[in-house]
This record gives sequence, C-alpha cells and structure tokens, in this order.
Amino acid sequence: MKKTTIALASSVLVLSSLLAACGGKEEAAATTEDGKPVINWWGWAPQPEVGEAMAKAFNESQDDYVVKFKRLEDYEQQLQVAMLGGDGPDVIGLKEPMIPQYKDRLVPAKDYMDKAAGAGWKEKLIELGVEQTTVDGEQMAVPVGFTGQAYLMYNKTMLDKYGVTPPKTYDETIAAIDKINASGDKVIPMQLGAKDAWVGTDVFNVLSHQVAPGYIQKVLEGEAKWTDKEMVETAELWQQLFEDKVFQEGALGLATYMDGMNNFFDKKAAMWVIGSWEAHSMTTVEKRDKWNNFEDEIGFVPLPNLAGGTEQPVIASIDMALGVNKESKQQDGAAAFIAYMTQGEGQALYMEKFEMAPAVKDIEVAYEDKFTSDVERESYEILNETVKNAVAGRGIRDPKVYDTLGKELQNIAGGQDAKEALERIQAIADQGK
Amino acid sequence: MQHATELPEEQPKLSAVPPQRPDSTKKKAQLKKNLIGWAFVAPTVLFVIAFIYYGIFYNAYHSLFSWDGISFEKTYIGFENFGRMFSDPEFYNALKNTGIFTVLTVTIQAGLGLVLAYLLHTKGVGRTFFKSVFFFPVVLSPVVLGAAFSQIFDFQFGYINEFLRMVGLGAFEQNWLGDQDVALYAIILINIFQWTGSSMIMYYMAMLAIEREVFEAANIDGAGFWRTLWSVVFPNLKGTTFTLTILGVIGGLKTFDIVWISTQGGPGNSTEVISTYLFRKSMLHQEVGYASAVAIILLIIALSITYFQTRVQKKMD
Repeated sequence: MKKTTIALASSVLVLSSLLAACGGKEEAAATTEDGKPVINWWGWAPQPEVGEAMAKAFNESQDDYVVKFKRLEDYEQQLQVAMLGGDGPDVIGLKEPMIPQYKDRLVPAKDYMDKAAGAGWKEKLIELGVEQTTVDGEQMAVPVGFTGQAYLMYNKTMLDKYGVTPPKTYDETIAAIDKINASGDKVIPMQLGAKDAWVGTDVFNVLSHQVAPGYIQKVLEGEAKWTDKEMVETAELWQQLFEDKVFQEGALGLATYMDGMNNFFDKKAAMWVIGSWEAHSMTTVEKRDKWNNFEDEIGFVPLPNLAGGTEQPVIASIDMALGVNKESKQQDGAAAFIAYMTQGEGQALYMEKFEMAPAVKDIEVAYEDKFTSDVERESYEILNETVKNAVAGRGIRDPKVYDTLGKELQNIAGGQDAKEALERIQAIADQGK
Repeated sequence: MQHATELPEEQPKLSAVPPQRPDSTKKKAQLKKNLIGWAFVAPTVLFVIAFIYYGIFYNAYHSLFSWDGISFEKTYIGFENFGRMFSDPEFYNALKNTGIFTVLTVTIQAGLGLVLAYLLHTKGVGRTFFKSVFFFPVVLSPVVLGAAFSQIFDFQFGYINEFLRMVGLGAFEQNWLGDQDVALYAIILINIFQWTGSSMIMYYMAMLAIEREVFEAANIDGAGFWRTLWSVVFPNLKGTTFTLTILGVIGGLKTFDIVWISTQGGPGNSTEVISTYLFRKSMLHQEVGYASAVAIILLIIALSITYFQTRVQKKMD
C-alpha cells in the first residue's frame, strides 16, 4: 500500500509539472504588481539598453500599460517557435521581409491606428515605409525606422595618417588600399565580414545597382532572371573583388559582429563595409563608454562605385516596423505603444539613439551635440540623406531566395563558377512560382 | 497412555506448497503487483511520451504537408517532401559532411582518449591535475568555444596564422573557417578539442577495472608502452569502445551548435551538416513540412546505425 501511494504520488507530481509547463504562463505575465496590463514587445532591434529606455519612456508617459522589451539574438527563429506555441509577444518587431511572412498573424494597421494615433497617421509616414509594410494592398505593420546599405565606415584619423581620403570610385579604392598596405602596418585597408551571408547579399544588391541600376528589382519581381547577363556581370564583379583583395584576405572567415566591429575599434581596420545603423557608434557617449574613450574621428560615405562608374547608390529598408499580434489579449495597449513609437514622442526619442533613419516626414532630430567632430556630424547628415533617397529596398521577400543568394555568393567569393551559382539561385526562385 | 508399539494418531501431513487460493484472488494480487510496477515507471513513461514520442509523431504528421510554420494554412502533399529530399543535391552534401565529421571525430577522439587515459594510468605524477586539464573543454559551452576559436582561426590576426608567420611558415597559413576546402576540418578540430576529455575519462575508468597482474605480466614479457596498449589494454576495453562509438555516432548526427556558431554551414555549403540543413529548411526557408521529412529520415538513419552496431557487438561477443 505504501509503495503504491509513493508511486502514484510521484506520477501525479510529474503529470502536474508537465501540465504546468504547458500552460499558465499567460496568466502569470498578464499584470504587473500595480495591476496594469503588461505589453510584451519583442524585437531583434533596438539594442537592449535602447529598447528598455524606449519602454521606460512610454511607461512614464501614461498610466494604463506597462511595456516590457525583450531582444532576442536568433530573433526570427525564436519568434517563429514562440508564435507556433501561442507564446508570441503582443507587439512584434518586424524587418521588411518578415511582414508578408507574418501577414496572417498580424492585425491590419488601420484597424487600430485610426483610434490609437488619430486620423491622418498614414500621411505622416514616408511613402517607402508604407509601401514596404503593405501586403496585398493592406498595411500590416507601422514603420519605425529605415537602415541603408552599403557604406564605408572609416577611421578618419587613420586615413589621415596614411594620406588617404575615403574613396568614391574603383581606382580611388585600389589607390587607397595600396597606400595603406605600403605603410607596412598590420591594418586591414577595407574590411568586409563576409562570413555573414546577409552582408554579402546587401553588398551584392548595391553592386547590382552600380552595374545595372534597378535590374535586380526586376529579377526579384520575377520579370527577369538571375542568369541574365546583368546579374552574371555583377556576380563576376563580386568574385573579382575577392580575387583582387579589395576585400581583405580571409573575409569569408570574418564575422561582422563582433569580430569585424572589434577590429575596427581596435584600429586593425581603416575602413569597414557596414550599414547606416552603425551611426550610433559615432556618438560621443558610445565612443567614450562602449569603446573605452575611442578618440579617433569616424566618418561614413556610401560604398565606392566598384563597377567602373561614379554613382554610389544606397538601398534602404524598414529595419523595424511594429505590428500587433492577432492572438494578443492586450491589443489596445499594443496599439497605444505602436502609436507612441511611430507617431508620438517615441519616434523623436528613438531617432536620437541614431540606430535608424526616421520613418516619418518632417521630424527634427537634435544631433549636433551628440557627436564630437564635424566629420561625424556631416556623416550623420550623409546617412540620413542617402537613406531618404535610396534607389531601392534592401529586403528580399522570398526567404528561400534570400538564404540561397547569401550562400551562393559565398561560393562565388570562394572561386566557384558564377553562372552555375546563379543557375542554382534561379532554380530556387522558380520553386516559389 | 500410548504404548511404544502403538502408532501415534495420524497427524495431518504438512505440505511445502501453501494451500491454493481461488483464481480470482490470484488475479487480483497479480493486478496489484502490475499496477504498482506501472505506477513506478509512469513518471518516466509520461516524460518520454510528452517529449519524445509526441515530437516524433508531430514531425511524421507535418512531413506530409507543405507548411511555412507561421501561417495557419497547411496543404497536404503526401510524400512529395520525401521525393524532393531524395533528389536534392544539398541533402546529399549535408549527409556526406555529416559522415566525414562523424567518422573523423569518433575515431580520433576515441584514439586520443585511449592514449591519454593510458598515459594517466601509467604515469603517476600530476594525474589529478592532468585529468582536470584534459576534461575541462568538455564543460565549456559551444558559444565560448566558438568565440575562442574565431580568435584562434582568424586569417589576419588569429593565433595559429600569426604563429606560422612568426616561425617562417607563413606559406602554410590558412583561412581556417573561411576556406571551403578547410573549414569542415577546422570544425572537426574544435569538436575533438572539446570531447576528447570525455573519451579519456571513460577509458580511464574502464582501465581501473583491469587487474594489475595483466599489466605486470605484459611488463615481464617485455611489452613496451604501445605494445601493451594495443595488445593488452585495448582488447579489454571493447565494451567502452562500443559505447563511445554509439554515443559518438549519435552525437555526430545531432551536432549543430558548434557548426552553426563557427560557420553557419558556410562558406557556401562546405560545412553544412544534416542538422544545420534541417534547421535552414525549417527556420530560414520556412519549409517546416520539408524539414519534418528530413527529421524523420534522420531518425531512421540513427535507429538503423544503432541497430547495426548492436548486432555487430553481439556477434563479436
């Protein structure tokens, strides 16, 4: 009898533990100690301290809700798993390519923004942002900020030492690299973190606009092919840049974060191919606190034209849009927060973190006293201006094409035949039709 | 009074077998015994059902669908996912890389582990210290290892290439994690670094069970270090070797973290293994149905290998 009791008791304990693990979390997270509903906001951006600051600012601006921010590293994968299990956040942070993927899971923006932000909210947004958050004619999320690619983030102090100015053309780039190498210093002249497939995809995208402006958009829309001569020429240019060591030897083994970033701030790289979001690294506060009083001047210019021309096109996409989860039990609170971040004082506050360019028109961002030097101030202006005038979006909406393009670009950079690689990409693109 | 010649009154005969109970009572007792047994194993069974068998059936079910894992719609497509998989060169590439990874890591880790264990067994000085040193990488997380080896393997500033340049062997520098011909072997090296200590400990514990006289007899016969190891020690460790092989093969099939952290299956597809291929299809390509089919095939491969190994072991015994 005693044995039976013990055995049954342990079975019940395990069973109740299993059931508790499967449910009950929602209720536990629903309210704070003050009895205010908690709005869970997830994203891969902004940086953790910035996201927490934005949540805090919203919480202090009203008394109805409490927003909690969680930044996840493998965000898209973790979000997908959470949404499958019904554990997704109330406010979903979205990159542009994610919006069509999640369209079935989002509340259409007009259903809540008219009430939360008032009439005319849509007209305040930059048109490209509305376009990139619209799927099948319906706007599914509200844009917060844009980021652009590709730029050279350069250490001006180092370039001055080598007698080099930020290059604008292929010839100027080669001259700059040769001059830095001739110094004998162990410095990477132009660094690319090509281990990250997303970096290669962005840079290839920009190169394609240098080779054949706008052509890649036709390919992405299915009106042209990856194997067309314009794309083959771009792929061969991409390969040539590695063979000619324009991008440093070993680029395919270097991760952008944190290895590439550490190289730049350890002064082991004079120029770094990166996106506009790194503008925050130029601020006085970050140079002092995050990079141990980094004193060198930093600047940004668009990626030089490496295709033999002079135009330096930039591509830009919504890097953070916010959407309301259809399964959220706090949709009003989620809507209030989104209105704050995209239309209210939250937008201006966030723009002063210098991670992204504004998604609304006519916004004044106080930046002059945030940077130490004129070069940095001018660079911030260059970033904003070029993102605003981007020639096309960054995003590739088909996730299979996006991932395959990234991998095949690594194959091409490693010496594989460019045409064959593009054929494989076209085969994947054809699957989606 | 009884006389000596008189037989005592007949006493009932005592039997060694207790009196037979009715059948219904026997059945009740057996049922109670069974229930007690089931009650004790129930927690484990519930756990296995919830976390293992449910997962298997979930994958088997979704392998018959086309589903992106996000939308509410799933389209039944039968065995189409399996057909596509068997005609996908990337699938075979991932299997090939997994095979190379598994064979090299299992054999080298076991071999090195055996040698280190025997060294520790025979040499007394600093035994505890060296056991700890060799075992230490086992407890490191893959993130820590990935970060450390990205510094070691970096082409420009990494310790290995800098050392080679310093000693005049710069011609042998490699793009360890960025060269498609080298990257897989660099990851194998990281794995061997991490797990050799585990093989060493298992072999060491098994060696402690070998009688001292066996070693003394080999010594008297003039057998040296390697001869004793190969002809005397190794044959006595068949069970441990078999266990390490099974664990190593299953581990090789499951390996994901160190590959993903080091190269994400790149550059290109050069380090793509079956688990990263499955992850890519599921999470990056959003083909959860297809990835479920890959998971089922992976399960069948693992079960087949385990069955085969067990049969071989039984025959050897």
